[in-house]
Amino acid sequence: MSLTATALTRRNVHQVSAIERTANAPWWAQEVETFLLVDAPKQILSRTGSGLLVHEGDVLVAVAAHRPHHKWTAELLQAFLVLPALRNKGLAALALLCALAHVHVAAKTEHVMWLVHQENTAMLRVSLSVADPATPADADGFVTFAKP
Amino acid sequence: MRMLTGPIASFSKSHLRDPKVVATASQGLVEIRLGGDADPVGMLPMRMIREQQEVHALAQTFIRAMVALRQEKPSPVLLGEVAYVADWSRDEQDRFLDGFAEAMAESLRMNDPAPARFYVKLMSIPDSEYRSPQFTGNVTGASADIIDAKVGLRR
Ligand SMILES: CC(C)(COP(=O)(O)OP(=O)(O)OC[C@H]1O[C@@H](n2cnc3c(N)ncnc32)[C@H](O)[C@@H]1OP(=O)(O)O)[C@@H](O)C(=O)NCCC(=O)NCCS
Ligand SMILES: CC(C)(COP(=O)(O)OP(=O)(O)OC[C@H]1O[C@@H](n2cnc3c(N)ncnc32)[C@H](O)[C@@H]1OP(=O)(O)O)[C@@H](O)C(=O)NCCC(=O)NCCS
Repeated sequence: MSLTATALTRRNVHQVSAIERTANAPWWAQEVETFLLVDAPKQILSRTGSGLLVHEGDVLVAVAAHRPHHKWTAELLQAFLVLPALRNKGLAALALLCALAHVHVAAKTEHVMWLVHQENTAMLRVSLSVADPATPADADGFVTFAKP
Repeated sequence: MRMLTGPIASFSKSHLRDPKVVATASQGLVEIRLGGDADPVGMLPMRMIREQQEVHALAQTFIRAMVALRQEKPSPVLLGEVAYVADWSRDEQDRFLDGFAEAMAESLRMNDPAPARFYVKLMSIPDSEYRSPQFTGNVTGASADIIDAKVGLRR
């Protein structure tokens, strides 16, 4: 298994249109999907945001968006998803590591942070397997992770 | 490959009964030589023709948008499919055309309507509003202090 990350650009951003939404997803997962399918591509197209695609060979595995955090000298991984058809195969941790490595380089920063809703069991497990939580859940129910 | 740059194979008319000819043509443009001075004819998947037509239609939309957006009051009729930009600010319209040009160039290069089609569709969707702090990193209360201590160095 060898995953590669490439920056999302105006040339490849249409690839995200092939991603299907998860039926019955909880609201925090729906928001992530809307963000990655609509808002993040718009930011790429208007050059106001950054993102990446994770591939295994020609197969698109995961998509993520990131941008500088407005308060900390860290890059914020705003959203991350594994393509619905490839879920539950244990790919998420590897894909997340690949995405984080890309963000470290692309954003030229030491720290990458991301927030996970405490009810998002799947993403919590995935996050805990690559980093320790930086904080317990906040008032909105989001746990912060930072790497390193 | 989607590009219509040249035939991927060439057969003479006498081979037309050979199933290989149609099988190859379903992958891309195939040239059929008619013999003598006759101009060869081509055989290609209908999908490629539809894609080509859609790329043409999008290129037309692009040119009409370029013309319309140079006018004081852009005509929604001329803008057609992208009439949603009619009341955007001048600056937003400029950026819209800029992005459209790039997506269009990619569509023409690949003979694939997807990049320009995606652009036109995406730009028509209003910005979303989110409940979660995930997209801004707006963490509240004690968490902010803890992150301060761990990640440190506010901007
Ligand atoms: C969050 C919760 C309430 C959702 O209720 P639920 O319907 O039992 O949730 P499920 O995990 O079955 O998920 C519902 C659907 O969303 C999907 N889903 C779950 N997590 C997902 C994720 N991260 N991304 C996408 N889809 C997801 C499931 O696959 C399921 O889809 P399906 O119905 O098509 O199978 C439930 O997971 C739960 O009780 N979690 C623990 C709650 C908790 O700890 N609360 C503490 C508060 S302090
Ligand atoms: C969260 C997500 C990335 C997980 O991807 P995945 O490829 O299904 O994950 P994996 O197969 O690698 O499984 C990771 C872990 O989560 C568990 N898991 C997977 N789906 C689950 C579900 N619906 N409910 C609870 N646990 C789940 C797996 O059992 C596994 O646990 P383990 O590591 O202890 O064995 C994917 O569901 C997704 O993209 N969801 C929609 C968007 C989203 O929620 N993104 C995160 C926003 S922060």
